[in-house]
Amino acid sequence: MPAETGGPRRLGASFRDPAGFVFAQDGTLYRQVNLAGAADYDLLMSSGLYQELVQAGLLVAHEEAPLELAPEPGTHKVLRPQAAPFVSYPYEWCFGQLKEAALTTLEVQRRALVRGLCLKDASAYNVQFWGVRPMLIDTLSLERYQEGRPWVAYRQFCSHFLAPLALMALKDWRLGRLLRIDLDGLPLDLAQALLPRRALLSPGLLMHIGLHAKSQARFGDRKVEVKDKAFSRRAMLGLVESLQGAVQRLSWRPQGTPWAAYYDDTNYSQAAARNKAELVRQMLAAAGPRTVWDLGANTGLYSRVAAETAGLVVSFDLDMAAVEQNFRRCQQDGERRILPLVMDLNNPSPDLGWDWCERDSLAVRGPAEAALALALVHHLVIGNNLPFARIAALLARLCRWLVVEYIPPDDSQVQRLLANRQAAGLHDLSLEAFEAAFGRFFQVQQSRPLAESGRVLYLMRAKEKTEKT
Amino acid sequence: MSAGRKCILSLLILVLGLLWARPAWAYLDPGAGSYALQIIIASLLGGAFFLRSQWRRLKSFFQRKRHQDGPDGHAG
Repeated sequence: MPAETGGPRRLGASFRDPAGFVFAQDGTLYRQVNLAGAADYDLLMSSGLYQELVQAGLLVAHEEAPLELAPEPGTHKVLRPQAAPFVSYPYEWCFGQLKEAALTTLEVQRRALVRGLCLKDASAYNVQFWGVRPMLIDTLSLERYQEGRPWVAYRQFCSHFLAPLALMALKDWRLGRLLRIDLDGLPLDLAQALLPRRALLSPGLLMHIGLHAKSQARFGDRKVEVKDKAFSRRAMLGLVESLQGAVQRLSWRPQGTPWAAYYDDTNYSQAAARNKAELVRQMLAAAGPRTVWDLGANTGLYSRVAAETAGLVVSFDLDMAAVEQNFRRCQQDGERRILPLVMDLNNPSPDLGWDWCERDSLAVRGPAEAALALALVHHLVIGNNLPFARIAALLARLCRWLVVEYIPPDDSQVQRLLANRQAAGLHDLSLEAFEAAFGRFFQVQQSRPLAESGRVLYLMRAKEKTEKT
Repeated sequence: MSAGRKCILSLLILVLGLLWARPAWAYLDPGAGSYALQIIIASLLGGAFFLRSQWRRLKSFFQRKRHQDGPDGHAG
């Protein structure tokens, strides 16, 4: 989060829960616990659940801060939670990330029940990633468990997690994008209609999506009387286990998308790749960034180079198969500095939700200290007919330092992209046009030709005031 | 009747019961349906949980026993 000065600023997404809210002051995040949330917060702390969840890496840790910091009256406590290194959203996660976030939510619920608490929300937006490790960030979503009451967050869990996971696994991974439209999760009747019939042969999916949707249709306009003990603790634990099983059984193989096999199919030798990695390493060393955004990272080859020195590398790619492979590799390596995310630069995450303030656009979450744009620019020029100047203008908004690769029109990769395109309808792809356009927004610090190709790697620094295109 | 068959039978009854559902209207509270479903399936979920936890207890009992009776004679 960029450093700010001035008074406290309540976060745009933090308005639903009467128990408290999150605010930022001088670049630090705080959470105010209102008197309305006092009893539940105190129970969380005294029951031993907080300690257990933090030790298990399931819940974000916090310190209690001075009460004077509270921006609003009716304060019980002010907390200073550990801030996520980079805020990401479920519609930017790959299948594996959403699945891990789902299992984290259920494990929190299971452990909470044992200690007499319960999750009142099961929103996917309450989970953030520290590297590959998802953690619940909403400390106030845990409340006293009232035995006999059904799980109030059951619908939310199914809509935020189970339905999109099932659709991605059993129908088409692109259906995960629906999460960007329905911010409170996928409507279950829609999920049921889109799922193939065989999906409902799984008892978990039949119950939690199929029958759930039917039940919503049947009881949606009635008041449901909940008698005491209508839903025992054993039934609640059974529900959590059943959901855990349903989530665990879903899997997705990252293949069949155009980019998943990209590195197996490139035109340069291992020596050239090593040379490129070494130049990227040297250029990043010259810039010395703590945070790097790798734009068009594919499976994260150069993100790993950046992560040798940077504390955080956000590794973006538009292809979920590539992001999934990247995520799995990070899991295997125990990599904590790389966060792989799905992002299409031709249509990046916008500001969303109430008053456009609930979910931030990519630009609002920047600028990064440095960005990598390797083998990216020609895709944007050819794929989206973008002139170099528009690409340079966007990159200058997103980062302060830029390592960018120029690929000449006679490169075999470019020729491949051009195979079915009329070159006459394209913008100028020449080196001169590239340097002129990027020179308007950046100062070139270094430029180095790449071995065995006509490609050039640049280290650039964004100019203080960028001119408009 | 075995517990597994009981589960399948109650699921079947449940499916049939819900097949007569009327269309959903988006402006209505979907929470009511989620509550209702949980209450309907409560005994199924509770029963399955009970059976699974008994099974786990049984398994760990025999695993402990096998460990204790093992050739090296070391208790787990």
